[in-house]
Amino acid sequence: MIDVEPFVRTQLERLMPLPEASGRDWADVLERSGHHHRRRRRSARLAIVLVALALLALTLLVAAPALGFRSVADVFGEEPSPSWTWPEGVPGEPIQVPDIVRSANQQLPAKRLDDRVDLGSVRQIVSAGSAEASDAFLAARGINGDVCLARLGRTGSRGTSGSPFACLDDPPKPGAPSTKDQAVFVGSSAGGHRGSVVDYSNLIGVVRADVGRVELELVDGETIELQLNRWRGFGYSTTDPRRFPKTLRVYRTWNSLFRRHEKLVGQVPLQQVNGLAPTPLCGGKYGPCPEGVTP
Amino acid sequence: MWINNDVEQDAQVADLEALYRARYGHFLRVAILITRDQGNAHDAVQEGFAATIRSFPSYRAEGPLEAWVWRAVVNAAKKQQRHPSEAPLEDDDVASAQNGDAAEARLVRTWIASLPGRQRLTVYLRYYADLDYRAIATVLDVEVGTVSATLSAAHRSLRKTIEEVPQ
Repeated sequence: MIDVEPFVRTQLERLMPLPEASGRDWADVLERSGHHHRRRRRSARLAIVLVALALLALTLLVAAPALGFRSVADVFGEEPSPSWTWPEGVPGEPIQVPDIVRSANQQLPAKRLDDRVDLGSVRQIVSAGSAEASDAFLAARGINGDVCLARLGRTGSRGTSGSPFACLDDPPKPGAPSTKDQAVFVGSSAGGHRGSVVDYSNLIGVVRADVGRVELELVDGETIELQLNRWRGFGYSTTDPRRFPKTLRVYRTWNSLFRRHEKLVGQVPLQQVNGLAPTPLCGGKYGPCPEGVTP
Repeated sequence: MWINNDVEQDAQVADLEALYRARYGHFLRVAILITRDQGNAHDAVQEGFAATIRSFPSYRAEGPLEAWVWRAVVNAAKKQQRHPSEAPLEDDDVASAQNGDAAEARLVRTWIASLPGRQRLTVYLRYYADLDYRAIATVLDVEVGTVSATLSAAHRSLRKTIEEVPQ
């Protein structure tokens, strides 16, 4: 029996080869099918639905608080509650315990024994300044297990100074707000290379867990934002008298579905350096002095 | 829900466009053989593809998409037909055969002309559209066994033609 398939295929191909495909017109096919119109109708339908959804969302946003309902925006964003805790327990970078901290810890009067800390847990949250004058916030584990904070200052001429550790769970002093009500602890120092001048200013601080933004108003009127480090510490240092700190403001921040919220939770007027004329450091290694200024 | 359907349909239209661009010539050739007119054949191909797009909402992917399109194109071509049944290859369809091939070409033309319309269309779909039996069954809306039987009958007829025609 003859296998006719190859023969037929060859002969038919020879009898009528593929015609020219130059007449191809896909746009015409789509036009005939009405696909373009359906697509346009579909786009219009989609646009109407999106506009309706946007209007609904806008109406809910605007009208809900006015109607006494909780704002829709708040539904997905809880305002954080105040807390002086850190995920790692005691915050900061481990450091060698300064002698002044060690001796202060050992010489605490009997009535403040609760402020004694575990010296093996001392850490530094933040520091600011220069080799001549710097300030730092330290943290350590208190003997009751809570976190205690202390400020440490170092100056080239006067050595190391500081405040003793104060523990966050301590009962408030009479007339003072409780720790929980304080959104920020700050330490600041200012001084100069001789007694009659002030030519540097350092500011350090640590904020409560609910605080997400720290703002500093300067003497020249400008307001700048200070970045928080991973332990919620911040620092600022300047030798320009016009840029000395004036007022510190801290804000609680949180996010919800539609926006970022913030609320002022602390405002600290900072020590004003009055009566002392700020002068720049000059002479010797600091370089030549401006006219009228003696080194 | 309708958005999902629309996305699915857009993908189907894209597949169809790829098929159109790759196989337009094949569709046109079969449509010419059915309609006997190049303009009408082009029209049939365009209309067949357009009809396929229109039928996508009811398309259930039973069988290959190409077979579905062939069915639409063949139906559109039949509507444009000049004569009531699929016409055989005529001289103006046939490329000029070389001397040595003239006898075989005449033989095949004679064979095609002798086939009943349904068999002829099955032969076109098998050899010009290059469809397998299952796809041809979908196009003609018959069982695969029917396609097999139809082609066997056509091949028998060709063998008979070969035996009858003096070499």
